[in-house]
Amino acid sequence: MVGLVIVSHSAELARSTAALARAVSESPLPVAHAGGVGEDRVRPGTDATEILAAIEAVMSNDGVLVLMDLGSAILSAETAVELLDPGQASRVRLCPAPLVEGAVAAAVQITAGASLDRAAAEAGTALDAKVEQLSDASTAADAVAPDGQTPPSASDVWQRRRFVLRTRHGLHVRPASRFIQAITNFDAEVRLRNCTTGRGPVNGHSLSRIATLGVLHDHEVEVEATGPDAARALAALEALARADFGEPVLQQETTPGAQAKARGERRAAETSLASGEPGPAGCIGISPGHAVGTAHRLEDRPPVIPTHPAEDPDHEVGRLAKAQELVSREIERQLPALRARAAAEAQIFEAHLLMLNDPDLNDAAIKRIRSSRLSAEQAWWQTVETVADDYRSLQDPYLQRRAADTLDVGRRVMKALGGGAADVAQSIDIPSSGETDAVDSIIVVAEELTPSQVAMLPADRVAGIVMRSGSSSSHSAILARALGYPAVSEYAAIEQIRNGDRIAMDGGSGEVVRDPDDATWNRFSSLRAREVDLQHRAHAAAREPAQTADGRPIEITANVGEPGSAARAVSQGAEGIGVLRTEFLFLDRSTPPDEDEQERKISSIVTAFDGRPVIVRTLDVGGDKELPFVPMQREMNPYLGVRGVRLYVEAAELLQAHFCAILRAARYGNVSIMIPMVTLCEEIPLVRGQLEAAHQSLLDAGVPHAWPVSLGIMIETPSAVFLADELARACDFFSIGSNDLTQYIMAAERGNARLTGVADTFHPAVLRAIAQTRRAAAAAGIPCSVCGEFAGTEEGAAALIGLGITKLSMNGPAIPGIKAFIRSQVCSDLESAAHQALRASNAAEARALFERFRRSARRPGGA
Amino acid sequence: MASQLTHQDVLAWIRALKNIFTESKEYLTELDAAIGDADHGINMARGFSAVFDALQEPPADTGALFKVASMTLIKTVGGAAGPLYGTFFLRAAGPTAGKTELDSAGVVEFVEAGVGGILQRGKAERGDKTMIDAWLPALDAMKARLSDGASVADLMQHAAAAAEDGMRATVPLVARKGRASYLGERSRGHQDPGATSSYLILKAAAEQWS
Repeated sequence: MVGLVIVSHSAELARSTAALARAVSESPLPVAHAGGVGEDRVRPGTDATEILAAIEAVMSNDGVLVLMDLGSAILSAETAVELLDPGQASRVRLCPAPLVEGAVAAAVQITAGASLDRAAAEAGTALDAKVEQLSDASTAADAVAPDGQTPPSASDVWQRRRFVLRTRHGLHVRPASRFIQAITNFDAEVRLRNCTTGRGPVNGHSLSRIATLGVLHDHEVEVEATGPDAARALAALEALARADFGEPVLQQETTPGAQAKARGERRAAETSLASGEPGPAGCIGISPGHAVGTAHRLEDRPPVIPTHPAEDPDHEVGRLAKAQELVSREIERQLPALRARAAAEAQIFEAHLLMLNDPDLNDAAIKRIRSSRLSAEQAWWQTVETVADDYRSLQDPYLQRRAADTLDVGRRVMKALGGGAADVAQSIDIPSSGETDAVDSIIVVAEELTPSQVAMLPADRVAGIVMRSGSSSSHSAILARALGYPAVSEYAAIEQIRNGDRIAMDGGSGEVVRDPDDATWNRFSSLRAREVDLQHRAHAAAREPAQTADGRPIEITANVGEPGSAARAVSQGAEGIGVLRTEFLFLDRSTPPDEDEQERKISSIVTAFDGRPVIVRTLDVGGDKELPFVPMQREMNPYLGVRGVRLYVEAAELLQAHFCAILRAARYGNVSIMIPMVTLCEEIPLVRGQLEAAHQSLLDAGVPHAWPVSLGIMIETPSAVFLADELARACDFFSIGSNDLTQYIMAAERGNARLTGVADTFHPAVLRAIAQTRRAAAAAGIPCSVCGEFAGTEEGAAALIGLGITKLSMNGPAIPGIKAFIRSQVCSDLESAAHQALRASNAAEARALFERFRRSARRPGGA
Repeated sequence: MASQLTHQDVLAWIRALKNIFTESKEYLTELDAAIGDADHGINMARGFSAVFDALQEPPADTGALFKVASMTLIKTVGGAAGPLYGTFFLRAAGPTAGKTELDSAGVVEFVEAGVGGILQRGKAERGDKTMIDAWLPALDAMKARLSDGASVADLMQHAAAAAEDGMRATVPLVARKGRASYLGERSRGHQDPGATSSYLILKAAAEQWS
């Protein structure tokens, strides 16, 4: 990946610009910055040696793009290039782009995989979009005729297509870059406009121009193309749009079947799913469900900021650190309980913890204390507001949301700084049911609750939430939905609600009835009871084991990539973990986690599964995943490079700690170990040897751990399929990774719209590989499961069961739907379909054999 | 002095610049306040003090000494003077690498290399009201004396005199490079601080090597 270096006279500006570039990047961006002179870098100026170090830090074969502010920054950047060795100097591009706009445009291009030339070109034109946007604000509006149909050009040579964006974040960076990739090889000029907002048209080949269209979910866009390949380019784009731009859809929507089913169930449970639609009084429902209760106002108290100057900066820095520490500890204390209630959403607070430990934020606050003699409160709040403003000023609602989070964390620290209340949670002054005579549940009424306030509401008392503001995509709304609080926003007249008023509300339609008559109260109340009952029943069914209608039991386990989804998977009905991807321990950090930290995190997951089988896949990096602390060489084709187990010899030390941690965590449950990316028979004894060494070292040190542990392998390469007989004799189980197996067998990457029909697990070539692997496992008497995304789709599960697979592992949200599907199927039907599929002439034909099961599937429990 | 310039002579010159710029700090700052951002004097004094400190244990040859000076100036000066003087010494380190004695031709060679660096880095031309207006006349004078077989001392006397003339000649000029160029016509009537510091550097060499 191209490296990015930001140079400014101001260290703070350089750092913040780099942070902004990181913030807009979809994947880790290699970015470094240089600014200021002198040891503490507080004097404005630039230091060529620091720039040199920054360039070297992000240098790769792909080169480095340097953006700088003005004057001597340019001279220093040039001097830095002169100081580089000539081989590297030729790969450095000093770019005259405007610093901030250029950095954002370059970051977007770089993380989309652009070359140095492309990133430089895009950064260079980064200002154009702004110039245009500011100069033609009125023109853009004019472009929409009353019927909203005005084509941007009347010329006949332009061919047009329209489609509606179904991706969750519209034409966000990743889908936009796929858009560009899809048309890049066609000889066609492509323009794009947002029909919903009237923006555009813009050049469809420019990521930053596409960004100016602000295409969001549900927006309709029109693409138009001209040139010899215009029709083909449009066809490719249409295919891409049909495939939702290869975007991983929202987790709950992993399988169309489960999605439809969940929808059906929800619809039965809720009178309205019109979340986001204005209610009777202009209110919007932001978390569905009915509630009745008495109003309890939560007043919004702005943070107290003492204005006196700081006497002793060291003291103030200490106070700030202490307050941050206090809030960190408090969040850490609350997290386990929150994870149990809403595992995925608890991540919001993990992000809060990161914010508290963010060196940039802290440096900025400390600098304010030291240089401007501010109190800890003033310095912290100014810093927090600045960062929040930065986020708010961004177009991206995703990033805008971080403003609320920043302020939320900021306020908690302010409260902790205020002393007195050691426990910031006390700010929620709702009496718990034990302390009051009140019988009714509470409807919390507030301006806008912060995420932490929602998380800290006493669940035994609170029935619903009414707020004056807050969108349905805010983290507060997301939490309210996850924690099951019906919520309504945009209720303008909250001041008319008094403590103790009776309220009936519908978080689906946005209806809020103040002082309802008994009939209304009872209606809302019984609707709520029914919703709760249905939820319980759906969950109970998910936890039951699944077997086909003719009695073959199928074990359903979860694919788990981080602790949050683990806790949630249990309640979704996972009977174990089919693959625990340990990469979460290592990614997004600059130093490796030590053994204790790994042990802690793995054992928390193992414990959550309470004795049910957990298969821990050992570190699988390489390919597209890199670790800064594992020196990896640039590879022409990383997916065919040093990946998975192939890295284990080079990174033996890192692996030793990893294996020790897994063995230590294994004593808390039923743990097996699985090796990723096996291609050679000798890789199994190699890892076995490393595991034995880890076992021996733990034994020598007297550290308790589990031993022996069963050892299995991932089957995801053609070689492993061909060697399956030999491999099966050397290990304890197989797990087929259908995603990678498909990619490697078909020699086609997934998500490439032009390879539709090639990169397809339904291709008989892949199905035969799966069948062959299962036969080898059965002959050796070892279990064989499948853990790719394929297993989490109804037609995929049908095919696998037909091929004789009895263990499927999938993302947690897919489990309830797949279990219900399995219960409706007859095994022998699936087997005969599989028999035909193995002889099908292509993927589509094979898929069709199983889609009929999907269509005919009965879905009990839906109503 | 002898016909050959020794490594010690070069070291004495560079070290002397600490005091020279400390003493002229106010003066340069005053010049810079008129058309720049009033930091040139401070920057130069800081830079050459740091160079002095970095040379507590001087490297064994002149090229290495210039390299230390170069890196230190780059790190500590800050404004445009940092990369410009840094580049001067970086390029000057080329022809003097491994040398402990320089004859007249050797001196001209390193000054020419250094000035080439400034020209390339700053992209200024003669008459733009920059340090180039001191360096180019000095270099011309040195080359002219060299062809007459002059000693190092004689070369530097002429170089300093030519630099001084060049420096004074910047007064009526309109700045076309750097921050002063933002002032346009208003930069007229002020002596360029960069040309002044360059003159001071050459004058110090003339004094040390007399």
